[in-house]
Amino acid sequence: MRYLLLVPLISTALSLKAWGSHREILDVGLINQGRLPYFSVPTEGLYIDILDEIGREVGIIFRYRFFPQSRIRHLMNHNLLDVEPGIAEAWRTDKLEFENSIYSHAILTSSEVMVYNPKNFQASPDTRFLMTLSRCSILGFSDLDSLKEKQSNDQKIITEIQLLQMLKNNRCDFAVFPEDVVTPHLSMFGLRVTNSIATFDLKLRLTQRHRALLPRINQAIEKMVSTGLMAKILMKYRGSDD
Amino acid sequence: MIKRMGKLKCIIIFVLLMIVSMVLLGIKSTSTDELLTTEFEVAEEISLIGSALVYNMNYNQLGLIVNSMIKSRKDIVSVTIIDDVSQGVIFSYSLNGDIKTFNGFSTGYLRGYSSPIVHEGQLIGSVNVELKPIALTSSSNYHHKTGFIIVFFLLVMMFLNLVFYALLKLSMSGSRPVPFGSKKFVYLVLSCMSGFILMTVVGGYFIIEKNRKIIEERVEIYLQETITDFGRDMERTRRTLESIYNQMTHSDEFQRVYRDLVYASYSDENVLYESNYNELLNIIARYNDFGISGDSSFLIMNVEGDVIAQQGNDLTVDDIDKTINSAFIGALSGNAEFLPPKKTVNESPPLYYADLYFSYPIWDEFGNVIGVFFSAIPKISFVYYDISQYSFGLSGELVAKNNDDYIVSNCRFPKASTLDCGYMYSNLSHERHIPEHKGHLELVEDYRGEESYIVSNWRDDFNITLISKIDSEEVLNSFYEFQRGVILILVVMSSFTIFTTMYTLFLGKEANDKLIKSNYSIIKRLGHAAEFKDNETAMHIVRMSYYAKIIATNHGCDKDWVELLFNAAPMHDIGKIGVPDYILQKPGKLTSDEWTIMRQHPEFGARIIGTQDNELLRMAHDIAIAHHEKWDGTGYPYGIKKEEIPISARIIAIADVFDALTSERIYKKAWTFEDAVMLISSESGKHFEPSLVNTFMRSLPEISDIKTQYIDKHEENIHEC
Repeated sequence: MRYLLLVPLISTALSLKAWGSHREILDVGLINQGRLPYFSVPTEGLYIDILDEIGREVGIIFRYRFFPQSRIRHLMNHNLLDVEPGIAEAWRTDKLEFENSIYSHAILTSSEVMVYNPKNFQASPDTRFLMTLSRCSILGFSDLDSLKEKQSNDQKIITEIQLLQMLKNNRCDFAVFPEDVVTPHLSMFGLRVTNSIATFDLKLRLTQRHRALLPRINQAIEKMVSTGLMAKILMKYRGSDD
Repeated sequence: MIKRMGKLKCIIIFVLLMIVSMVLLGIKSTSTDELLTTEFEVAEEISLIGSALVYNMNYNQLGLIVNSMIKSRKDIVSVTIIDDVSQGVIFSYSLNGDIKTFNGFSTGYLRGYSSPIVHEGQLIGSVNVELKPIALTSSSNYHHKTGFIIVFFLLVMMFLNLVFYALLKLSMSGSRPVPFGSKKFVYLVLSCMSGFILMTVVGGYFIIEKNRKIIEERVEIYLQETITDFGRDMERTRRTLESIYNQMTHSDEFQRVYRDLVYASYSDENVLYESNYNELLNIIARYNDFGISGDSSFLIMNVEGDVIAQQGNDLTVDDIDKTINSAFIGALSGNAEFLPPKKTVNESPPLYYADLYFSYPIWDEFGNVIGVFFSAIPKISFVYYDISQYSFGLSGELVAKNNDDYIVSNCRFPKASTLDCGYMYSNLSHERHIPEHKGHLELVEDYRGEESYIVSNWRDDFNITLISKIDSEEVLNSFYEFQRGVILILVVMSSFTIFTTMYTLFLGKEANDKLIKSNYSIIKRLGHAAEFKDNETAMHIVRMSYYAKIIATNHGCDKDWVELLFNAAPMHDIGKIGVPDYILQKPGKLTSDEWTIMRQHPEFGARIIGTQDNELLRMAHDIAIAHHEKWDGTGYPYGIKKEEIPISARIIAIADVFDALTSERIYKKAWTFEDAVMLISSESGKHFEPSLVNTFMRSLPEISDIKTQYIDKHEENIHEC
């Protein structure tokens, strides 16, 4: 009798699998070191929840693949990845990126802050003063407009944890981070942040060949916002709904 | 300090230091005796070091590291790193500054190799490296050898100096004298010189031969490495092809087309067969990017061996061996293999082919083999027919020959009229080498008739013998230069040493002879002084010296000894200096007391001369003390007899008495020659030794001549020193 019960279950599973196999699969590029609260390895975080929900709405599967930041941009440029989540349009201005990118509606807002080691300063430093000092940044990350002149002097680091360690060890004077990302690490490394120096609307960046999907994705985002699901997800990972 | 330590100690310390330095030099030369690095190793090293940097796209860091690698080597001609995603060049270096497009093929006879860059299982790029052709014999090795030679010859020089030092000591020692300039001394020096030359020649020979062996060992390793590289590349090719064919034949499309082709071929449905055949060509053409050409010849057979599809005529059913160990049976067992090459030579125009084929099993979805795919090897750079990329140096190359010793690969130096290379023989080429066994070095004539070093290795999978070869002239060029250098050093060193030693000896002997002559002159004058005190004539000691010389010579004594006797003889009466003049010059007979004093003059003489290391003075001492002893023991001062009396004194006794008898003295007239001879004869066995008397009697003509020549002249003055 038990075996007879298994038959409809297996049939259902196979049919689901068959249905699933017809859904379009989009490869999503995420940084291989993880970036909580946005995502972590293997698959957790607000980006993952948002994308999974969009996938359900639109009828596509997002397959998460982890690479160094530079490689994600490189693979996106050559259509070997389909989606790069949490990107502001101002960050992807290289010719190939500009030509090959389309963006969804914003999924959240990110505040960028400057991180520094307070032991190097008698008082909280002014952001303009900090910008004149040495900077560490992640290889493959875009620079803010105000910092682009200093790019040649930057030290390029592979992971954000390494970067925080560099600040702690006074190997460089400051770095720019999303406030969401750096806040949980400040006390552990004995670092502080300035006030927000910029705010960006973060969107899903897709390659041009998925232009047809964009309206449905945007609709799904709007629906998530209107139903309060988006706020719920943000609250879950950020502790606030904005 | 050196004086305090002593010269011998200094020399020993110096020799020890030299030995230590030689050992250290030997260790250093061993530690730096590294194997030649190949282009494969360089490419793979860059691939390994750079993979993480390429993956992270940290190109600045990649550039720094690869540039520092390049700077540490002089033989890198170009390095190109290509990104797999964009196919763009992410790093480029060229020795002459030109940015060149590297297609993975070797250009000319540069050593080129392309290695994939893989990070965590992902192919992310490739690195292409070209190295300069190298002469297989490294010059650094010879620097070490030169250092070794210098130390070796310094040691030989030390040895020589030690020998001379020992000789000097020996010549000065009293126990076993070897006088400077004597024959014995010259023989010893010549022996040492011969030993030195022998040592240098033997040492030089061993160094040269050792050098040759080292070169041959290095060449053997290099030739073996070339074969290993080829094997590695072929294995990589096999795996790559296996993956590609696996991908292709497992696709649903291929499976369907194959089944339809099988069905159509059995049911003679030509339209269906035609459409599926075209579809098959389309499927194969899609794998062009993977190096499988749609134009290549292929043959697809089912498990019964029937042809299902075929393209081109290069590979026919007759070429497919179906015996137990064949590729066909291997494929039915699920193995992908290479087929032995098929050689074709067109007469006109002269064209040459030796294509290689690959067999792959076709599986169904249940894992059963349902057919075999035979295909010509696509035109990938390192495959068999393009074996010329393994050429190295100025004449090195890799060739393949079949069981008939016929070369089936392209060769580097084909005959002018055709690409054909002909035959090549070797003793070990058909030995079945196990994979780990790389074959041994042989010296044979290659297909051109040039003497070549080769390493051969039989390949069961291709039914061919791979031969890695290089002209012996190229290999040994440096060796011959080294050999000439060593011989030149040997000749120059030997000549210089012999010349300077002989010249030094000559000058030393000249100086020594002068010194000896001077010493003898002084000794003679001393003898004269005693004679002057006695009878105011020097002729006595001159004559008796000659008489003694004549007797000793005719008695068979050694020439050097006779010369010594001749020079020591004048001092026989030196002791008379201690006898008062009134006794020596008394006209009448001496009293008993006077005789007692007179008889002490041998002891006075012995004391005056003393005990010396000098051989001449030792003989003079013997003569002085014993020339008044008698054969029968009745002489003075000690009354010793026969052989107890030194032979020098026995001879001097005859000479002295004979000249005294035949000379005029204050107290007597001179005897006639005959009377004196008779007296000597009558004293045989009493005063004189009988055999010496006999010799004296035989020598009378010469003695007579001397007596006539040196007549006493009382007015003669002794002048000149």
